[in-house]
Amino acid sequence: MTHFAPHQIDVPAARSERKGYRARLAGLCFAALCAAGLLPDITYADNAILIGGGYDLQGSQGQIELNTKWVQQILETRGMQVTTFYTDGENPGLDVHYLQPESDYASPLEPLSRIFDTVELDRTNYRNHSVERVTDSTERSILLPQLRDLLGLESTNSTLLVYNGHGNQSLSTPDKVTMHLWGDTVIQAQEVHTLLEETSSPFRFVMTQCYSGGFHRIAYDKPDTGITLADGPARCGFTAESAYRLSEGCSSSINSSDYRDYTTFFFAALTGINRQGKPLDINPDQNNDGVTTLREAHFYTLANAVSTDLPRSTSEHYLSNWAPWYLRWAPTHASLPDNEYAALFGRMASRLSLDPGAPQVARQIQSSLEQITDQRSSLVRSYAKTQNDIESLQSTLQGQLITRWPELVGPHTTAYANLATSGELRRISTIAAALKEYPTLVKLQQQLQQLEHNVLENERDSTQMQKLQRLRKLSTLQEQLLTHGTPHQIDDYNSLVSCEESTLR
Amino acid sequence: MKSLMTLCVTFIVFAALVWPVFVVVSLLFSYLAGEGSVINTWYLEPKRNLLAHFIEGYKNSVPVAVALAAIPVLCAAAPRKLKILRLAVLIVLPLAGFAIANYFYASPQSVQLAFISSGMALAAISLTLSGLALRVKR
Repeated sequence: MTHFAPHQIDVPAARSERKGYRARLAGLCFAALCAAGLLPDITYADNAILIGGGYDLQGSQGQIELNTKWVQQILETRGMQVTTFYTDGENPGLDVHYLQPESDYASPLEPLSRIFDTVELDRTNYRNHSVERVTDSTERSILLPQLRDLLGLESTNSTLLVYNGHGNQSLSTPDKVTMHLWGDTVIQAQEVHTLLEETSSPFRFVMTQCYSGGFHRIAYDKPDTGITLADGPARCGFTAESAYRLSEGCSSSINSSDYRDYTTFFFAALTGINRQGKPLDINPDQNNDGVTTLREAHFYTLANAVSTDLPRSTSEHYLSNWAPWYLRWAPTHASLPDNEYAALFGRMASRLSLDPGAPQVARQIQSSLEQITDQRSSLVRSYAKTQNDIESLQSTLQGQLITRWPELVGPHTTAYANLATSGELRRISTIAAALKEYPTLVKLQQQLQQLEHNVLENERDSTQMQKLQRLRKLSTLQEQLLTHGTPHQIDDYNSLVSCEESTLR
Repeated sequence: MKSLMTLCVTFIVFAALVWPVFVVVSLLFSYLAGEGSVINTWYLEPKRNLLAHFIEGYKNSVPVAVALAAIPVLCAAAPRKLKILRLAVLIVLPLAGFAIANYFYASPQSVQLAFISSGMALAAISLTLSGLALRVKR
């Protein structure tokens, strides 16, 4: 059994130091160029608060850990002051679970796992996290006071908060969505809003958890309702999803080439290098000014991430919120106005083999979406049937084994422990594999895995169509704001866009 | 007295139907074009948000609905000799829709058809209400 080796993904200290030196040098050069007026005037985030991890061991997947480490490395390389909070802090207890790669998996007890549980459960391993320079735990009672200090009055620097973890939905107003933190504790979006009321320094965030869109409400004066922005510098951010949908990115897999979550694309765009260390095929720097802003990274992710995430920025949230009653229900133009969202729509539609200029393109998108939804219904039905067949077959096989070895009924008993220590369990496993129905069970379980993958791919396809619809909507809304919005509303929107146009150091 | 009552009922029922009719017609246009924010919202947000937006529109459209409701009431109140006036709603309401689209929207082209169609649908409703009112009178 091969264990996950943390050093395989860690950046060695010396290399990290060299990178730090290079980053500082690059920073100095950049500052000199800016001072000479050779580069555009761009705002930076000085400090970063990195929060990561699940709410308990079972909810703390390997992907979250790898994402946190990767983001930490990127931020530190840029010379930012990073304060990291991760699960239980420096407590040596188990706080991460991960799935052993399929290629490395070879267990003599696999047949018993297949008959009594799942192979995934047998492949799951647990360990303490390997995130370095962790300041403290994410548990609410520990994190909240520290956030108050970091974001409080004394802080004058611009802050970027990055959260990689889980979140809970709000059934009332979107500002009640949460970061689901260690020890099964939570911090609501409205609590972050309260913390920010005490500061006048710029604040930006990148959040990738489920229902993360509710955190856009921290930009507003009243977190629960309204479109008036809070006083002071604009607060803005980017979320993987709206306040109403689950996000992708909590896999137990430790193969980062499988990752398609918002973090993976967003930070790859900011650095120009993907998770595998290769340069990106598409340049995220849309205006070719030599700097990729957070907003450009968001646009890159929107257009290129084939995932189930439908990400949004605070300015996009503002546009959707702003839409007045007389425009919200009215039909819109078939042709799009000339703006950045229309351009993004054009690029994405072309990538999906649609003609963005065709008069019927909106209808085509809707038809594709309906077709994909129909396919999903069929896939879900097959999934449910296969799952039933597996359970029924498992029950048959369990019956046959328990008749011969009744100790198998209680895996936490002394009799069972005796089976394990005497080596009898391995022998039973070999016999189980030779049972007549066993090959069918293996086949069905593999089918189920494939169906699960197909459902996920189907959801990803469906999201691509929904993204196209959303880009069309945003394109129209941006135009409508300019024609129907008050000067104050247009200023508010522009301040959010300007806030999003900042970059890492 | 009875005819005044009938006119009041016509006024209230018509005014109450103005916003829902506009929403249904707009949705139909949006659906046929595969476009429209409501289609997105339907799939991506809870239905309670849609309901809240619908009610917001209902409340805000009251002045327009009341003004429009005066048209069928005036037509229905026309003397018997000028019965033809009852049919005037078929022209006046779609024209009113056209006027609203042009007056309130910065780029009316995209909404004109929906407003004119809503006017036609409301005219049909108005005639139905008049027919019902006549039956009540008899």
